[in-house]
Amino acid sequence: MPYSEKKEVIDLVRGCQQQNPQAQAAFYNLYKRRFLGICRRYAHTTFEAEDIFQEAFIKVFKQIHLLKTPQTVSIWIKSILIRTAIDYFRKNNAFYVYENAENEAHFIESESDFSILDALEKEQVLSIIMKMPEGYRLIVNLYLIDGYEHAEIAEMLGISVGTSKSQLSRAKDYLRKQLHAIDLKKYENG
Amino acid sequence: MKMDKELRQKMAEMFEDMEAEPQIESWENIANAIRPETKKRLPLWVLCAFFALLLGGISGVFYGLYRSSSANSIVSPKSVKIKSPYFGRKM
Repeated sequence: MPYSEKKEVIDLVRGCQQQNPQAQAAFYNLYKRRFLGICRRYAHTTFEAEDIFQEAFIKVFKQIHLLKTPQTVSIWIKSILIRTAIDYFRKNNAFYVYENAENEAHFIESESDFSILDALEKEQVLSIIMKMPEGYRLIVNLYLIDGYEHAEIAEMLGISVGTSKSQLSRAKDYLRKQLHAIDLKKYENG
Repeated sequence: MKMDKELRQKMAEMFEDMEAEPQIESWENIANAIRPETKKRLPLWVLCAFFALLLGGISGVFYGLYRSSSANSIVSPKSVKIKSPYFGRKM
């Protein structure tokens, strides 16, 4: 019953816009698992993920009265969540992206083979992403998973398009090396 | 570019349904932060005590002013009697 589901969500959004506590609790329960899943990808630890998650949900409830199209609520929450994650790393001085001409010149579109991904579990790939340096992790999430383009990423992070591309190239190199390390371990362990 | 597209597709598919269970305290923290602030009212006895003190203070100030004005009041010279052995004598 997709229509009734949509209607239910729209009713919940309207309830939240009227600051109805029951609607807010139901809305939270509907989205909590999915959106904490996204936070885990963006965070270095599960504690950081919970911090970003809580901060983002507080923003969602405080700004939901500004949402004019309740049908797009999940896209809207996701964008708040991602911007909260970016702000979180900026605020905690953990956010670092190389921004200079040398790095822009360094950019090479690598055509690396990532077929190994098919043989790995989601949790294995997630653990690599979580251990990545902040700049790499952000670009991997924004470009490879959430589907943002370099121009959008550049605008979100306050960097140039060239820096975004070079950062992605480095992040992919890092990812490939880590994936192959897991693959090697698998062979060594039989 | 094709590889790039494939990688994006693989990664997006891998994580599209990723979920995690938040801690129970998360909702409590969020609910506390979004709860509308209720206007704090002072208890009646505090208000009464405040007005009693205010009234006491004001009347104290007026009483003090009254006392000082009566002490420094201007006295007419005719009403002053000077008792001095030299007063009125021809020198």
